[in-house]
Amino acid sequence: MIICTHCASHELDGTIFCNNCGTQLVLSPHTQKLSQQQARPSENINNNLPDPVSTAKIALHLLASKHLIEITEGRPLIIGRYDELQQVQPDIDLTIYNALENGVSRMHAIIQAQKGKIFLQDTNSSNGTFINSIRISPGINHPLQYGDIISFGKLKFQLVFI
Amino acid sequence: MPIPPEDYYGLLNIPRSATQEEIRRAYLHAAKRLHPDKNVAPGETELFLGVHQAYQVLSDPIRRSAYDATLPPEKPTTPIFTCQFLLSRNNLNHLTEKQRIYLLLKLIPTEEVKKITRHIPINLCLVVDTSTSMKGAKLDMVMQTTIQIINSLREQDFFSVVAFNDRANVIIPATRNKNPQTMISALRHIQTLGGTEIYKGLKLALQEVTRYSQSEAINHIILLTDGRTYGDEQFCYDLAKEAARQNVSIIGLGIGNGWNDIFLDHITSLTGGYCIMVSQPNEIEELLKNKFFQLSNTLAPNINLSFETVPNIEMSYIFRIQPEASPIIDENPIRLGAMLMDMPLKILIECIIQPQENNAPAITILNGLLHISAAGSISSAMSIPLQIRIPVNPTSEIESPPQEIIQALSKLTLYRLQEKARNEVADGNYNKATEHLQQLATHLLAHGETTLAKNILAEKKYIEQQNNFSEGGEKSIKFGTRALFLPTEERK
Repeated sequence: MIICTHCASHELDGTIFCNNCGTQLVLSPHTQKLSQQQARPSENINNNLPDPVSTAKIALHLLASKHLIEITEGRPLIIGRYDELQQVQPDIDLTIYNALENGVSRMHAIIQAQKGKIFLQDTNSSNGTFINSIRISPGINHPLQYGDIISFGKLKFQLVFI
Repeated sequence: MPIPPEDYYGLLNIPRSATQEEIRRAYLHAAKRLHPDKNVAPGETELFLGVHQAYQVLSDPIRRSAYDATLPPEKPTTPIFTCQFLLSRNNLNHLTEKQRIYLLLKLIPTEEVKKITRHIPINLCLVVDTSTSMKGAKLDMVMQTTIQIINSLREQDFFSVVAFNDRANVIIPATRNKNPQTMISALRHIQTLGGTEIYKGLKLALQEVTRYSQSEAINHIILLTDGRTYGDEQFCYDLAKEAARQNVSIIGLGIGNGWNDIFLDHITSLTGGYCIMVSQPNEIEELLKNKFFQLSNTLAPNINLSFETVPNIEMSYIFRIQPEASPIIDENPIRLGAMLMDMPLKILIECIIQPQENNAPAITILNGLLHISAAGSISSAMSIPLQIRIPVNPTSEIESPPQEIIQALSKLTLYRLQEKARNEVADGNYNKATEHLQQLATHLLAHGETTLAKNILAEKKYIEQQNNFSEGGEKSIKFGTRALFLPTEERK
């Protein structure tokens, strides 16, 4: 039995794409597993985070400012920037943080919080998505942990509870 | 290309290895169809006499072996195609749990194909819906393209046209292209009237296509319709099965929004064919001509997979990845369709392995026989045994499936999300349906398919408000996700 990292649906052994949500469940031969070792970021970040409470809300904290972006539980959310020509409206629009100048793609990544777990997937963005300074391979869900530093292009966020 | 009179096997449309019983049956079948009392079309009496003579010789073992000795060797020295398969897993860890395995079957034309210079005859019947709704641009475009097709027919081709609404008429009976002007002027008799009764049209079309027993011809029916048939669906399915038995494939072109794609998918895939959507009348010309020219580019028109039922294994989904992306019905034999000269035929099969209590070192996944019938460039029928066994090895590690299977499945998964959304709408589960459409759109955006993704999101909104797809909306999503299988340069 395989449990989908994205929608938690139960799939038969040998399944390659989740039959419920279409997420790829098995790594492609060319993509490499991320190193388990987490490089600690050198940025001046808040290391005195309060203990996570299971009922707390999850948010992305923009490190350059005091902005918080709440991540609602449930469906996957598209992170990117609005583009007038293509009419792509991401769920989390980073336009106001100078997304274009900071190298954020229109459709940069997908984040999903479900049942207390948070996953981040890069959607083939031009400048990449980084978890704790490690670039993640696109198209695969990566679990996030409380306190992780996430970069979309040059924009850096920290995963916090509010 | 006329059949040489001594090609007895070709006349009866049987392989050289045919048994006496097969010879007898083929003879009765051909004789019934070509009997002079029944048909008076030019050339048929000669064919009937040829068939009779073929039977006289082949039914007598002594004369048959003497005749066989005069034939040139059957097999070409280099194969014109190769058969390969890939598995998503090369080992099973256990048999205690239900599990999945994917099989990618590939028939690949070899370089040898380029040496084929034979001009294979096309035997095509166009079945044109002439119900009232076809009036105007749609029928005009069909007629205009038909004239172009007539003008591009070669000497060896057979061509016929059947028009149908509440009734069906043969507009151009199956003939060799001797006088294009006569054919073209016959098209003037087409009038629009009444409703759409597909069975009547198909029945006449099959009659026209099978009028001439041409074992090497590419036998095809192209059905053009913009409407729905009511009440005669089952008759159509039975007719399609009969067509498949006679190696006649049906291609469907559905015009506009009103046609029934589920029905048309079903009858066409029963014959190894497929259907496509023509959203605007001005697309008719390009698509119809394209399908016509594809026929002359066929290497083997009918490839079937017959299989023995294997205990604990179920083929749960069969899909043709290319040349024409289309779901395939799991009849036995499975009609896989045609192999083209310049593109491999790729079939993806999903199997479910039921849990079982034994310590077998390996289990059989598929025990089948691939049949390639004698037509096109295949001079005599071929059978390739396909036996797939997979070892059970508890210590094996989880493997990465071959990249080609992942690529095919990533697109197939999107197609199936669309299927799921549609089933949920049919069952009244609108929330589930919109959830699947949202997931589909998200994946499409990630693949850079923004136009299709936007259409799907618009459709999702429509369902949220109306509890149904917009008119034609479900079809444009279905054929939009099918088009993902096309090479990028071919997509618009």
